[in-house]
Amino acid sequence: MIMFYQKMLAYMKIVMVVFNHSLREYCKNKIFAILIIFSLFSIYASLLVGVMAVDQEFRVLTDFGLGLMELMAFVYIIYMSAISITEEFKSKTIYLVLSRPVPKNAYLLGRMLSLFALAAVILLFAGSFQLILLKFRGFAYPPLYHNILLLMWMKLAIISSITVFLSFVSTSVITTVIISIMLWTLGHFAPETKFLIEKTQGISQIFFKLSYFLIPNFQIYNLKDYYDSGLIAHIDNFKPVIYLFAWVLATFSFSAFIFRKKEF
Amino acid sequence: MKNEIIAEFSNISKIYKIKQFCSSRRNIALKNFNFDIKRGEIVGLLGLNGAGKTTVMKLLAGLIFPSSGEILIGGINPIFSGAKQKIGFLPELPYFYPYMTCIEILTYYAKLSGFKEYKGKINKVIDKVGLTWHTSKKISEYSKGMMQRLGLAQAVLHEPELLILDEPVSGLDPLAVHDVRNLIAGINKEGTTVFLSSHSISELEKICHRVIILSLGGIVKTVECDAWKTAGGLEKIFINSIKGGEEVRKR
Repeated sequence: MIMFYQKMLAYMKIVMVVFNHSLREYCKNKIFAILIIFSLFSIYASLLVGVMAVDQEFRVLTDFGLGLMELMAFVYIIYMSAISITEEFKSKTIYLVLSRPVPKNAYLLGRMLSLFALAAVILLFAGSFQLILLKFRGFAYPPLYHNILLLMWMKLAIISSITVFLSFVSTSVITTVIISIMLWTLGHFAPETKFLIEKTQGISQIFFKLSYFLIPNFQIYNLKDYYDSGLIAHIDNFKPVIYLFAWVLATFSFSAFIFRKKEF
Repeated sequence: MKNEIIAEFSNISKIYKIKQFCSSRRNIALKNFNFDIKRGEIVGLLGLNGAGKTTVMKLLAGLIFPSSGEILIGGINPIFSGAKQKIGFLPELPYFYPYMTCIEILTYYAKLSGFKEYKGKINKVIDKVGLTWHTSKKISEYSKGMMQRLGLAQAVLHEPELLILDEPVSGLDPLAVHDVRNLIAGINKEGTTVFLSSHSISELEKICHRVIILSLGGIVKTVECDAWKTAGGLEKIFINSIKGGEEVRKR
C-alpha cells in the first residue's frame, strides 16, 4: 500500500512538472499575446455595438462579448492542442523527456491538464475584462455568468482532448484542426441530429445515431440558450460534468494507447 | 566491479516498417546484435553513415523497441523507469526549448528525472561544461557547440550510471571537440560508464577502452585499446573490418 502511494506520488509529481512547463510554454507563445489583445479589443467593440442597441445594450454587450470570448478561446485551444505534443515530436525535444523516467501517460496527462488550465486562464482573463466593462457601463453582474463560463470551459476541455487525440492519428496539423472545427460545429447541432433520428428509418437512422454518439453534444453546455428560453430549471446539473469526464477519459485512454506504441 | 555488466544486448534485431501508399517497406537496421557494456569502461560504437549506430543508441535509451531480442540496463528493460533512472542520454544534435535559459532547462530535466538535490548541482554542471558566462542567454542565442555542451550537462546532471552519447562531437570546432573529449574522460574517471557513437575514428581512439565496429546493422569486430595500439592505429583495423565484413555479407 505504501509502495503504491509512493508510486502515485512520484507519478503525480511528473504530471505536475509537465503541467507547469506546458502552461508556461502556451502563455509565452506570441500568438497567445496577439489573441489576448485581439479578444480584449473585440470585447471592447461589443461595448460599442451595445451602445448602438439602445434599450438592449446589456443583452448585446453580454451575448456578443461571451460569443467572442468563446471563439477566441476555441481558436487558441484548438491550435495549441493540435501542435503541443506533435511539435515536441517534430523538434525532437521529446527525446530528452522520454529518455528520462517519465511514463508516457504521465506526460500526456500533464499536457492535457495544462491545455484545460489554458482554457480557464483565457476565459478568466477575458471574463474579468468583460465584467469590468459592464460595471463601467453601470450594469449589474449578469445572471449565472460564472456558470456560463464554467460550462464554456467544459466544452473547450472536451474539444481540446479530442484534438489531442486527433493529433496522434492524423497526418498533419491542418487535418487535425479542420476535423476539430467540423466536430465543434456539428456538436452544436446535436438536438437537430436527435430530431433526424426520430424522423428517419433504416440506414439513414443508423448513420444519424452513429454520428450522435461519435460527435460530442456541445449543446448541453450552452447555458445561455436555456436561460433565454426560460428552460433553466430543467437543466440537469450532473449531466455536463459526467459527459465531460466520459469524453476526456475516452480520448485520454485512446491517445495513451497510441502514444505507448509510438517510437521516436 | 570492473567486470560487472551494466548493459546487455541479446540477439537484437530492429526492422523499421516504412509506410508507403497502400504498402509498406521493411528496412533492417540491426540483425542478431549481441554485446555487453561493463561498468566503468568507455565503449565506442564506430560505423559508417547508416550502419545502425543511432538505432543502437535509441534502443538503449528506450525511445524505440527491438523487433526481437532483449536489452537490459542493470537487469531492467530500458522502457521502464527503473532503467531510465540509470541512464543519461545525449541525442545527435540535441534540441531544446528556444525560449528558455540553460538553468530553466536543467531545472526542468532534473525535476523530470526525479533528482532532488538539483539546486546546487546545476551550477556545478554548468561550470563543468563551460557555460557559466551564458546562463542569462536564451537557448535561441546558443551556438551549436554551446547546445552540445548543454546537451552533455543535461545528460550528466542526475548522476547517471551509464552515459549514452550519440555523436557527441559531430559538427564541433577543434577546441570544442577537445573540451568535450576531456569532459567525457573526466566523467568516466568519476565512475560513470560511457557508451558513445561516432564516425570519427581519431576521437574514439583517443578516449575509448573498447570499440565496436558496426557495418550494415551487424558487429564486424570488437577491438580493445591495446589491439589498436599494437596494430598501428584503429583506422587500419576499421577499414579492413568494414571491407571484410561487406564482402562476407555480399557473399
